[in-house]
Amino acid sequence: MAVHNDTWGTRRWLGPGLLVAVVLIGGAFLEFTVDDPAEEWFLRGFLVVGILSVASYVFFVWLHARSTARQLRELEASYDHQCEALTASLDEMRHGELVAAVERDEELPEEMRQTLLATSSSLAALVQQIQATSVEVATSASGVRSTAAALASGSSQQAAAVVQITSTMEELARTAGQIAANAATQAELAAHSEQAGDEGAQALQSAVAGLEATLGRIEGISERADSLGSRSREIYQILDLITEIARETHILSLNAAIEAAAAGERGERFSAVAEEVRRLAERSRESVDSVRSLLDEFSGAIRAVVVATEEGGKTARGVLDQARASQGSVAQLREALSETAGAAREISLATEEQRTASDQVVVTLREVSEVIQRMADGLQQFTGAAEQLSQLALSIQLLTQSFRLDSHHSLKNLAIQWADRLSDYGGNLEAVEGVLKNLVQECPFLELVYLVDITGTMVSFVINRDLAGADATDTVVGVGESFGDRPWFRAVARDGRPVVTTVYDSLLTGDKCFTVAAAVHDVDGVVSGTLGMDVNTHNWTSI
Amino acid sequence: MPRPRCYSEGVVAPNSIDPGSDGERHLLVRAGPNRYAIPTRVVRSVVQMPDLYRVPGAHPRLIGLGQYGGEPLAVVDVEGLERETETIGGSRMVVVVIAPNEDLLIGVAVDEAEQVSRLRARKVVEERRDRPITEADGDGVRRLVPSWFLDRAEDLHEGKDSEST
Repeated sequence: MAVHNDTWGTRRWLGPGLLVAVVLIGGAFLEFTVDDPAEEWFLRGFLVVGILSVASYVFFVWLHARSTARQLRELEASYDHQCEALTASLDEMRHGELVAAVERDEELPEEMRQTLLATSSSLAALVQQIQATSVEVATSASGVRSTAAALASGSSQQAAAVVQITSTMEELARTAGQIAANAATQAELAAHSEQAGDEGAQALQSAVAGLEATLGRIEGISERADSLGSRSREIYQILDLITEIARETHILSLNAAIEAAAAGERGERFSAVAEEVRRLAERSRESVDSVRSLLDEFSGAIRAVVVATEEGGKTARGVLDQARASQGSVAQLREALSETAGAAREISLATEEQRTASDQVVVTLREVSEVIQRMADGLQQFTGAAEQLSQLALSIQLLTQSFRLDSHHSLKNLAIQWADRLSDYGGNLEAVEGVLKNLVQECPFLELVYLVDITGTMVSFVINRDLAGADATDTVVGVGESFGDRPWFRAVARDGRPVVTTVYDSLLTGDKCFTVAAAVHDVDGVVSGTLGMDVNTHNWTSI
Repeated sequence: MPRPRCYSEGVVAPNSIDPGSDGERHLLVRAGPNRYAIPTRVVRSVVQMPDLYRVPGAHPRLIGLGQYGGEPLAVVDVEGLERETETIGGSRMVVVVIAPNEDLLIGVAVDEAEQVSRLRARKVVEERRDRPITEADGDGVRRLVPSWFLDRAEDLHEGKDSEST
C-alpha cells in the first residue's frame, strides 16, 4: 500500500506542476518574443490569469484529492477487511474447511462471494468426485486383488498340479520304458518258449509213439499171460485127475493089503506088492501136491503178471491219453506262446511309443509349468500392485477426508455433527453413551467411538462388537484413562478443527484404522471435550 | 465073491492084542485129528463114500444108509462116535466097511485110510472107559475092535447114547 500511495501522491502533483511549467514556459516565451509594451500587459495578464488558474486548479485539485483520499481510505479499509475475510476463508479452505470457508464469505463482495462459493463448490465436487473415484478404485483394487490372489493361488495350485502331473508323467515314462524292456524280454522269452514248445511237441509225439508201441507189447504180454493161465488151469485139471487116480490106487492098494492080510501067510508077498503100490500112490500124491504147489506159485506169478500187465496197460493207456492230451495242450501252448510273443512285441512297440509320447508330454508339461510359474509370479506382482493401488486409494480417501464437506461421506462433517449432538447433554454420561451407541449403529465402519474431556481423560466409549467381536475386552481402553498425548487430541485442542490421523494398526481388531476427532462444545460454545471415532479401513472402504 | 468073515474069531477083548505074534494087522485110518486102528480081520473093504440116504429120526451119529455089494450099509461117523458130535468129514471121505459079525455090515466114515500095518509094540497109553489106546509109529492110536462096534451098534439100534450108558 505504501508504494501505491507514493505513486498516487506523485501523480496527484503532476498536473499542477505541468500547469505551472506551461505558465512559466509561456511567460518566458512571451518575455523573449514580445517587445511591445502592450503585449507586456498581455503578458502580465497572461501570467496573472495563469497564476489564478494554477491557484484555482490547485485548489480544486486539493479538494478532489482530499475527497479522493477519503474515499481511498475507505476503500482501503474495505479492501483490508475483504482481504482478511478472503484470507480467513482461504485459510479455512487451506485447512480443508470448505463449509466454514463458505460460512465466512458474508463480508466479501457478492461477485467474490459467488466466486468463492463456486470455487468451494467446485472444490467440494472435485473432492467428492475424488472420493467416489478413490472408493471405486479401492473397490476395484480390492476386487482385482482378490481375483489376482485367487488366480495366483489357482496358478500356484495349477503349477503344483502340473509339477505333480509332470512327475507322474516322468514316472509313467520310466514305467513305460520298463514295460517296453520287459515286453521285449517277454517277447524274446516267448520266442524261446515257442521254439522249446516245438521241440517239446516233437518229443511228445515221439513219446506218444513209444507209448503206443509199449502198450501194444503190454497187451501182447497180457494175452500170453492169459494163455499161460488157461494152460495152468488145464494143468490143474490134469493134476486133479492124477490125484484122483492116486487116491483110487491108494484105496486099491489098501484093499489089496486087506485081502492079503485075510489070506494069511500066503498073502504076504501080495501084501508087500500092495504096500509098494500104496507107496507109489502116496508118492504120486506127494508129487502131485508138489506140482500143485509149484503150479500154485506159477499161477500166482501168472496172476501177478496178468494184474501187473493190466495195471501196466491201464497206466500206459492213461499215460498215452495224457500224452495225447498233452499234445493238444502243447499245441495250444505253442499257439498261445506264439500269440504271446506277438502280443509282447506289440506291447513293446506300443510302450516304446508311449514312452516317447510321455517324454514329449513331460517336455510340454515343463514348458507349461514354466509358463504357469511366470504367470503366478506375474499374478503375485499384480496382487502387489493391486495392494499398492488399494493403499493408494486409501491414501487418496484419507487425503479427501482432510476436506470437510457438507456431505455424509465427509468424516469430519460427520464428527462435527455428532459432536454437536453431544453438546446438548453436558455431564449426562448415560445420554452420552446413548449418543455414542447410536453413532456406532449408524456408522458400522466405526470400531470404537469415545468422548474425552478437555484434559484428554476418557469420559465414555462404545466398542463396535460386530467388528471387534463379542469377546473383545475393555482392556484396550478404559474410562479415566488419559489420551492427552494422542496426536488427534492435541491437534483438536490446538486448532479447534476436526482432524483425521494417519493409518495405524488397531489394538482392538488388529486391522488398519485411523481416527477422526472433532471438538465438542457446550451450550455456551466453549470447548468441553473431544469426540474420537476410530474408523476401520476395511469396512469403511467396503461400505 | 464074498470074503471070509474074520469076525468068526470071536469078540476080542478091548485090550487083548495077541502079544505072542508079530502083531495083528490093523488098518490105520484118520478121522479129524485122531488116528484109529481097525483090525483087518473085521475089515471087508475100503471104498469111496457111496450115495447115502438120510434116515429121518435116526441117531445123529448115523450118517445115512448106503449099499455095499447089494447089502444095506449103515455108515457112521467114527469121529462122531468117539466125540459124540454131529461132525461128518469132507466130501473126500472114504468108508471102511467092517463086519463085526455075520449079520452086520457097518461103514465107518473116515477122512483117510492110511495103510495096513502090524502093531508090534502093544502099549496101553491110556485107558479111558473101554477105548483102548495103542501106539503106532510112535503116535498114539485108538484101537477099534469088533465088540466096540457091536456095543455101539446096539446102542444105536436102541437109540441110547454110549456116553449116557
